[in-house]
Amino acid sequence: MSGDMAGNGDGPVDGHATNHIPSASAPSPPGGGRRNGPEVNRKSLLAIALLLALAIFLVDTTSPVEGAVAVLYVVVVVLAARTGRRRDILAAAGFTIVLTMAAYLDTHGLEHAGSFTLRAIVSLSAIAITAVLALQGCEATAALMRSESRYRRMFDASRIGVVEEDWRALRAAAAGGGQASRPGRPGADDIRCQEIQRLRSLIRMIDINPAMLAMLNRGPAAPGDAGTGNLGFVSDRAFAETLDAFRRGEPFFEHESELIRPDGTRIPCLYTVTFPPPGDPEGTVLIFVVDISERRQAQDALLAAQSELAHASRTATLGELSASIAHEVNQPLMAVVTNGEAGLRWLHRATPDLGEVDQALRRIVAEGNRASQIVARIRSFLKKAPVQQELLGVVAIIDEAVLLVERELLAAQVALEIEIAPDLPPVRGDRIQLQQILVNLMVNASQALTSRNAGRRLRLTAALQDDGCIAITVADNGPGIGEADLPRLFEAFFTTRQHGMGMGLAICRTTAEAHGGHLSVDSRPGEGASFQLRLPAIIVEDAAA
Amino acid sequence: MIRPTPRATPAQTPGPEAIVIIVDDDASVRESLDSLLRSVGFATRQHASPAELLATPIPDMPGCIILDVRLPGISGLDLQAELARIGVAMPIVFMTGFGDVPMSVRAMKSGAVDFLPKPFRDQDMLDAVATAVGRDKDRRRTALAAHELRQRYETLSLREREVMAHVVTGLMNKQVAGLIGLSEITVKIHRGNAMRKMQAKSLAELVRQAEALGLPRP
Repeated sequence: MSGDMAGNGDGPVDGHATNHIPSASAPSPPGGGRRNGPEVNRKSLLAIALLLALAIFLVDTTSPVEGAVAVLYVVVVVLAARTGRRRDILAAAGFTIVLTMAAYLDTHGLEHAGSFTLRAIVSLSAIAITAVLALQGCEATAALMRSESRYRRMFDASRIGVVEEDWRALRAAAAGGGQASRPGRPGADDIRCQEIQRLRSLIRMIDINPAMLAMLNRGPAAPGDAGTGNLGFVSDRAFAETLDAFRRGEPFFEHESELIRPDGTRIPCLYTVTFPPPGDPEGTVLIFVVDISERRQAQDALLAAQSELAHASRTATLGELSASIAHEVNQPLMAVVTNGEAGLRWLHRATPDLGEVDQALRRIVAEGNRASQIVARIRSFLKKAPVQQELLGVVAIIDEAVLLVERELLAAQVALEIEIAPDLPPVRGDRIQLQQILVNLMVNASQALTSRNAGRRLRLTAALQDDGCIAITVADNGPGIGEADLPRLFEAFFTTRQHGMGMGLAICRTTAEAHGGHLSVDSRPGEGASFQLRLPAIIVEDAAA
Repeated sequence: MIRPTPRATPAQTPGPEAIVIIVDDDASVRESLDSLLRSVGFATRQHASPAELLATPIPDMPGCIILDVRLPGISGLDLQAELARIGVAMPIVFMTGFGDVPMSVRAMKSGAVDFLPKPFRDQDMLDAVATAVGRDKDRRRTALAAHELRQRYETLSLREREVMAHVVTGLMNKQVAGLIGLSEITVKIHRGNAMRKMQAKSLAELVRQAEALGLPRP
């Protein structure tokens, strides 16, 4: 027999393929034992079949029994079929047909025909039919095994962590209980925690794939290991949410969470749990876990890069404002010096005027404070701090931004109108970055307005809109934006200015979007431009509610 | 920096008869300058904007105006032009936070006394103000003298004016008499009256006065 020639195209499914299971998943489903030592099994099967065939042949040729002894060859074919190989079946069928024919020729010869001939034909037909049926069965088994092998490979080779669990006990226990994640009364948390622990212990792990083990930093584990099974790798809270979804009868549950390794380290992961349909008696739950730490790292890196860029842009913006900033800092410094000199002169008069000296000194103190406030404001604008997420008053953001550009607007002879609706709810985000957007918009407007000879107006309004967004609008009556430029306005490196870098508005829009908001523009050439920053308003709930 | 005159020592006590008008939008700058200038004896007035300055009559006394180049509504240079247009002749001292050469050149050409970059030394400011006030006093003195001369000239009779006009061109009495058809003696009397009324001690002085008055040649 040459049936063990693996890889033969139309041959039977190679027994080795199905046996390609790492020791990690040695606890295979029932039937795994059948795959143990198939070669030995096959050889003994074939040996028995061969012996049986020879025994039947002997009986057929030597015994005087009048009957279709050859029909018994069917048993040989069936035995051979047990090996699951086409070749074995064909060989057994061929061999037994040859034996039947040989016995027939030996006993009856070719000269006569009679009832014995009919019996021989019945025997041959029985062998042939059995062989065909066996071949068909073999084909079906092979398909099943191929399918099994394919899914096994997916399970084993996938980079997605997969855990198969049995939730039948849990389903029975949970049928009576309420929602696990419902916020309880004070003190109920402990009870709930214990309940969740108890429910977790009802889960039995069936299988776990190598990717999952690698993710957990574990070696091959035994089934039912408490650390890996029972969704032990997610937090109690995530488990409670999963359980709720299970109870609601949802087909699956997806959640972004953290995977807790046995050593306590955590990695961000996306996990999906698929629940069996309610009527399914098996009740097998499949859990898929994807490690998203790389994605998370990429996101973090992107955020850091954006923050760097925003900082660079802030620096550039302040560079454009340097003249007015210098003026702003110079004013109080000059006042300090002049007040000092004036004070000295009042003091050194023939009759010192101490009242004037007192006034001068007070002004010196006030101006010194003013100068340091200006410097502090600029420093804070230039600070390279991680992005903050805090509740911010809209009025404060606008006021601080206006303080930074007030001088510049004055120098450019731009009249600034501010109209802020009363009682605006706060927004959440980074104070400096939001200020930066407004500063940028106002500086842009001021530069656009230089083309206008008189009546340069800039209007800044803030109001709450129906959709729960706060809209801050910066509108000028400058030349407006050309229709061709409008769609590209927020693109990086797009600028209409001779020395512009083209990053300002691109960064502003990114910043607005990072705050869950949006920055848009509306302009009619010749009538000015209006930029609108929309930010979601944060409704602070009453603590008692 | 452009300095039109050699550095002048400020008057010890310029006297309260001089006023300095300070125009700056920054109250602290105004206050400090105000104090400094009062400490050396100037009268002062403060304005936060050009509009405020233009809305207030300029007092009739010697003084100067200190202007910030960048002012709300209108630039200091434009204000300078506007003041010249409405006939305010007070000298102007400019201050600026931006050391801007073209701007200072324009300011000086338009008659600014000085252009001080902020922050300036108080002595520089006091010097500039003293120079400006001194220049204003000179201007007022000249204006006053011209005014007085004109008043004296107004007292002359038509004949005396006619005689004076001819005499200052260098003609002898006899020639003048021939030209206007009078006797030489009458011309001599008119000439004597004209010189007395004009308070001219010599013919040379009368000629200078005629030039200052811009009398047309007969």
